[in-house]
Amino acid sequence: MPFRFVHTADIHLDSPLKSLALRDPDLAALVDAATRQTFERIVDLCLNEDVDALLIAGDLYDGDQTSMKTAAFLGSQMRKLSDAGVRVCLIRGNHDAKSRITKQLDLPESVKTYSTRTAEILHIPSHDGAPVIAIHGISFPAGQVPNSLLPRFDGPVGDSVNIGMLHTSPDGAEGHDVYAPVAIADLAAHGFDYWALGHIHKRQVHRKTPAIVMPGIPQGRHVNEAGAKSVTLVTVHDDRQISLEERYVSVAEFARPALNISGIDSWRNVRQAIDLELNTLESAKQSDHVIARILLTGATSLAWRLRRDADLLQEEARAAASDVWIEGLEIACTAPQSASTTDAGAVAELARLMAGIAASPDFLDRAVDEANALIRALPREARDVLGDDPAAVAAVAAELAHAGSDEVLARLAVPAVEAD
Amino acid sequence: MRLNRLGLAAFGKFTDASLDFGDKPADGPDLHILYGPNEAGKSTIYAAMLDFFFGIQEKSSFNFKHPYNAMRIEGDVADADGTAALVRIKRRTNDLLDGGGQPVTLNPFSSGLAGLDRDSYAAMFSLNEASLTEGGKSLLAAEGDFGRILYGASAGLADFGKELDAVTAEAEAFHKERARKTELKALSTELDDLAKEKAEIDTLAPEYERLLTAKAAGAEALAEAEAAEHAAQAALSQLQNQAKALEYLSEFKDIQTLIEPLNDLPEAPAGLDAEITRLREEAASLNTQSADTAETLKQHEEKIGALIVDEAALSQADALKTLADLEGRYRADARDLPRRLEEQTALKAEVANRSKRMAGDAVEDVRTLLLSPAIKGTVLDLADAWPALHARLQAAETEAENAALASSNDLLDVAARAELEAALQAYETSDASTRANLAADIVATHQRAFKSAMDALAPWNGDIAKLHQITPPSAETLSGWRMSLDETAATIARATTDATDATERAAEKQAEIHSKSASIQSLDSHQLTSLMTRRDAAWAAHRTALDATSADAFERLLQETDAANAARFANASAVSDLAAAHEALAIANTQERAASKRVKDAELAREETQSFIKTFLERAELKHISDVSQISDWFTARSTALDTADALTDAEAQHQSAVNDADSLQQHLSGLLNVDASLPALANLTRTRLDADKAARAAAQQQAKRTIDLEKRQSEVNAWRNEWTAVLEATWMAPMLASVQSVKAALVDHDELAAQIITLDTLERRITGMGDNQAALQEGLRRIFSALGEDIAGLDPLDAYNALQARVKEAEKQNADRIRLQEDIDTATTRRRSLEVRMKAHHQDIAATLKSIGANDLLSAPQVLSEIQNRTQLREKSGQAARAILDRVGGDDIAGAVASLDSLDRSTLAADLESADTRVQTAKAEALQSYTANRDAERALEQIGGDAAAAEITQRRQTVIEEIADSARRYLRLKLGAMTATEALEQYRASHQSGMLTGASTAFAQITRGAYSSLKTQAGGKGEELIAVTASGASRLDDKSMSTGTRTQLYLALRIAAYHEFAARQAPPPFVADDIFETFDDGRAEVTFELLGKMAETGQVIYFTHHQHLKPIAERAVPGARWLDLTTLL
Repeated sequence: MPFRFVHTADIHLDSPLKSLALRDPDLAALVDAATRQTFERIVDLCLNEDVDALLIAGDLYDGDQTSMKTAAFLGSQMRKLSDAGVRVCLIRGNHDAKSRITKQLDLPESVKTYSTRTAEILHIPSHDGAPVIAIHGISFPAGQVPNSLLPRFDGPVGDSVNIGMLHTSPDGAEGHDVYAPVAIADLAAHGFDYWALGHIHKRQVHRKTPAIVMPGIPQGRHVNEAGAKSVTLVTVHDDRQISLEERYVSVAEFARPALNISGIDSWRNVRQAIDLELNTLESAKQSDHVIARILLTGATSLAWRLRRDADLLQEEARAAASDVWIEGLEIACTAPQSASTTDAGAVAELARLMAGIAASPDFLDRAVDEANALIRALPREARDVLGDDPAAVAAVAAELAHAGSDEVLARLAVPAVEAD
Repeated sequence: MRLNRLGLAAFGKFTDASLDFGDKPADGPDLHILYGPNEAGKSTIYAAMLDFFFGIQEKSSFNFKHPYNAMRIEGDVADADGTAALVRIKRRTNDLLDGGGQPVTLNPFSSGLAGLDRDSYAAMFSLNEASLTEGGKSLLAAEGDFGRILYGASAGLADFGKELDAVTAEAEAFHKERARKTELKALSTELDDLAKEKAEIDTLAPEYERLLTAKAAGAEALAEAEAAEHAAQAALSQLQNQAKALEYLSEFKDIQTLIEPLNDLPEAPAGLDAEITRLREEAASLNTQSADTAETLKQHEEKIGALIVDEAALSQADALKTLADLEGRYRADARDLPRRLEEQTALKAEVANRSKRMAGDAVEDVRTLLLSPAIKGTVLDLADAWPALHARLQAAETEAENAALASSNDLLDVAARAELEAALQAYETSDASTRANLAADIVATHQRAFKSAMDALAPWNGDIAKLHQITPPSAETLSGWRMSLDETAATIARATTDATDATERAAEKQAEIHSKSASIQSLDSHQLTSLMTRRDAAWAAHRTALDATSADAFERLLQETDAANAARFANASAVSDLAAAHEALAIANTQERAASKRVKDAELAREETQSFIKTFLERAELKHISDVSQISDWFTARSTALDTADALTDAEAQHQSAVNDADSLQQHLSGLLNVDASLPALANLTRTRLDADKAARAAAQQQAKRTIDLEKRQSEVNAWRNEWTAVLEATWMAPMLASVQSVKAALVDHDELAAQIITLDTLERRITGMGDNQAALQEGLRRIFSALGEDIAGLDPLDAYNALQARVKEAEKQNADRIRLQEDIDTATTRRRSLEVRMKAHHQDIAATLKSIGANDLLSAPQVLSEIQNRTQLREKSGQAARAILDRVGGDDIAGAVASLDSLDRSTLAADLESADTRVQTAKAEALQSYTANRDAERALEQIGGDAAAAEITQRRQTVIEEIADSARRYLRLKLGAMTATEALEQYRASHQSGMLTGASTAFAQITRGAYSSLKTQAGGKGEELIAVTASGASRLDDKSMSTGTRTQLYLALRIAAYHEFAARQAPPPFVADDIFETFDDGRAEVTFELLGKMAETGQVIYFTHHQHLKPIAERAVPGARWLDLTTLL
């Protein structure tokens, strides 16, 4: 009888999703408390698959998380697992180390929380012919750990299948990367059979033998964590062979499709192209919902109109797929070459003038001034939405100057036409 | 770029309509005025022009007559590179075709239309009433921003200014310094509100720690406070008890005083009072009962002494009882016996009669007539079976007779039947008749088809054999003829047109030469040459002569030559035109000759082909055919006719085959039946014959079966007869053997007789029994009488019995009375003895009781008892008081307690009580406080819960932040975009101001016919402001200073200036204006026409109008304008 466990990490319980799409109250209700729903699904997966253990390799919460409701919820889920005889192995990641609720947690005895001082070993005796298991692990003592934690691990326990749990920045440069960087080659050489890693939000199976798995975040929280997210279901067979299965558990997944609409010159056909893309996303999704930010590129005579009426287009596209929600529509289309270079009209001339102004250093200084004036007026929590240092703000200001110039020109360039 | 022709081949309501603008005039304006009343199609033509340039719109509404796939716009387009014929169709790609119908890959319009898209072109190069009015308004809106005005006029965008303001307003709706209500502020407020909402429901980790501490501290304080409270309460209780004990103490002392004198009384047992009462009552009762018992005993003894009993009668009582049954029967028999004897006599006579009737004679012993039950049963069974047996026999006989009758028909022999069956089956499986009928229909159809195919060949009227002989021409031959004829006809038509055109051109050129020659004054080059020759000759003569005459002559010729040269130079272009006209005339003449020759050649070729065709038709005797297209039609008809003829022949063959099959079947059946009839009739007859034969066979089989059945029935009947005879012959019924009915009747008599014999026997036994009874009774009575010593003789047994019975009854009654009295005496005696015992015990009780209380007698006892009871009650009260005291002060030593209480100071006690009560209240309040603190913390901890409410608010806050981020970026985009636009407009103004201001100034002065002299700019609110100058000073553009109409005209002036500004840089595309003079008076319309004419010197200008009255005005203003009447298009 094999030993089976679910490996996950970076739950970031009760941290919010970052998406404008959630302004839609329908979607907000559907993906309500998404990280919780996902965690419940992980627990259900453990129960349905009748696994022996759940391994959480750090970052169960967000660092600034202080709500005891989160702790109470976690406690109830852990009791559910405990009642069903599923062990839980928990190491603290950089976020957990910072979190104040960690100290107050009241967890059942079947939950093993690893020490921050030294790598402890949990021995699981054989039952029904399963291999003997040794689960090694160490918790982050602080929010930043500049050195590798691997030296604190003992060597493999003889006769046992050895599983190591480590929150780490794999192949990160020691001294520069403050999240317990470690070289994959060193992990592979340590003699363990499975490394249950955490910290990086994108799933990666670094090696198959020994298995070194970064499961990734099980519920993406913004468009930069796009794609279907999962946990890893691991089976240690009686002959000590290890097999991996990826299981999808997320409530919603983010997508950032880029759509080249070169040569499409009718509004309706753009709509159709978007509809097709949305339907493709819907049929390929692994989660209940997809939150998409669509980028339109390519040369089209509709470039100006799309820019001017992007909101209208987004509104029209909304109905195409019931489980795909549009977070935003970015227009990066250009007018066809022939028109933009040889154009002799007043509009073309104005366009050239505006492009020149938007690119001039003098104007960019003023753009940064405008940006800073706005930042001062923003509420404290939103101060960094335009960048968190002066260089970033300047880059955003430059980008917005160009985009704004295009957008305003689009509105000034052609007579308003009703959408077809 | 210029449009030489616009062809509305299939567009809107137009079909093959063409607007010919001609070539660009060599000089003079390229202005085209298209006149047509409403509905003439002006807007359709305008749309067609745009569609021709930019493609037919995807959802074009001009498909109401020609569907999308048929829509087609043609045009001849001229630019610097030459002229091209292009066609626009409706298609997603490759919708622009060249003259040869091939898709044009490189857009030929892109440079000609200055790279403008449809909207921009429409905005910049067309004008109508509405856009002018809007433009006028936009001037007002953009007042003070000359950059906007210039750009708006150049781009034809009236809404431009509004749009830029809208952009700024949209940005500022999100954020504006010092504005009170902005979207940003609303979002910030929402963020704060959510933070507050979260704080209300959420418990954070530090708070959780604080609550845990508070809960523990509360619990500890509570325990302490409760202990203090208990101590204070205990002290208070002690003092309260002491106070209460003091109250009980005085009561206790009073009781002691009362008890003191009673202590010498004896202790009486409980209930003694009741005992004394009972003893007194018992004494009375015992005395009464004793007297009663003595009296009763005396009475009973007197009665028993007086009683006498008949002992003799009493001794015979049992003997008399044994006779009671016999006495009863004796009574009944005395009534019954005479009747029984009569019955016996009558029955004997009846039996004698019956037996005689049955046996036919008197019978000595009637019992010999009785049959044994076995014989009687057999006879009855046989008699009952007979009717059914008899009926079955009769039925079998009838059926046998019927079957014999039925089987007498004829039968076919086996061979004949087989032959008939085979023939019938052959008929039934054959479809010969059906086939014959169907084939006849098909033949008729083919005959009709054949006839109409032959008719189609008319007037040709030969037969089918002849038709076969005519050979058709090959397809190649036929198409060769057709092509040859088509080509020659086309060539002739084309060449004829060419010839006519050339002739016309020659005539035109001739006329031109004529008029140009006339206009050139005197000299052509030949004349000049001769003049110069003459001048040179005069010079030579003058050099020879050197006199005044020769000088004059030379001077005159010199002047003539100079004049001619001057004139020649002056007419140089006319001369060159004339030369060109000569050349064109020569070309036209040559072309005319060439075309005429092509006509003749083609006519010859056509005649040759026609003669081939004629020869062929004559050979085929098809002289009626006149057109080559009819040849293939006729030969198609010929092959149809041949095909139908073949089909007819096939059908006829099939019909004949079916008829033959039917005939052979009929002959066969007719022979078998030896009857001559139609085939269906023969078949029916055959079926009838076969059916009859089948029926006869079935009847013969039936007869045999019936005969066997009859024989079986007869043997059954015979068996019955034998048994019947055997049984009856042994009995007295032998004579009745022949009749079953008689036997059955005799059996009824037999049964009656048997019953009567049984009745008679019974009667005899009864009569004998009665005599025995009487004798037994008499004997019994005699014995009793003799025992009593009396004589029975002479007495009726019944009377004797009755007298005896009365005497015995009396003796028994006397005996019963004696027994009862003796019992009563025994009872009274027992009772008297028991009373004596009880009285003795009673006296002992009284003595003991009186002794216990020290009383002398029963009368004085109650007084003593009452005193003892009083003492007992006092002792109880004393005990209660003592217990009350001990309850309060504790312990069980009442004496010690009394002593300690007596020592207490009562005033000190009151003060102590008061202070103890205060201490208790204080301790209680402290405990409640601690309890509340503990409980509040506990509840707060319980209420935390694992719900997602806090996480949901965090999510909502995040979404608000995302919205702020998005709006902030949009704000900056719009803000920065508006800034670039404003600056760009400034630069635009700088580069175009002088050119456009000059052009617009002139145009405006002209349109207003001098009311305004010029336009200029001056520093204004937003930059440089446009000012119109009148004779009386400067005028701003606002409503007060300038009328709406004038402002509209100012906008027109700006648009005209923008056109020239554009044209100065690049060849302009066609400009279209649509009836813009609605509000213009004729004077302003005329000068505006002049301005349009001026524009038309640079590029092509097309003006649509439905006002015919403009024609003279336009012709005056622009003499070279071309006037096209749109009504001719439809």
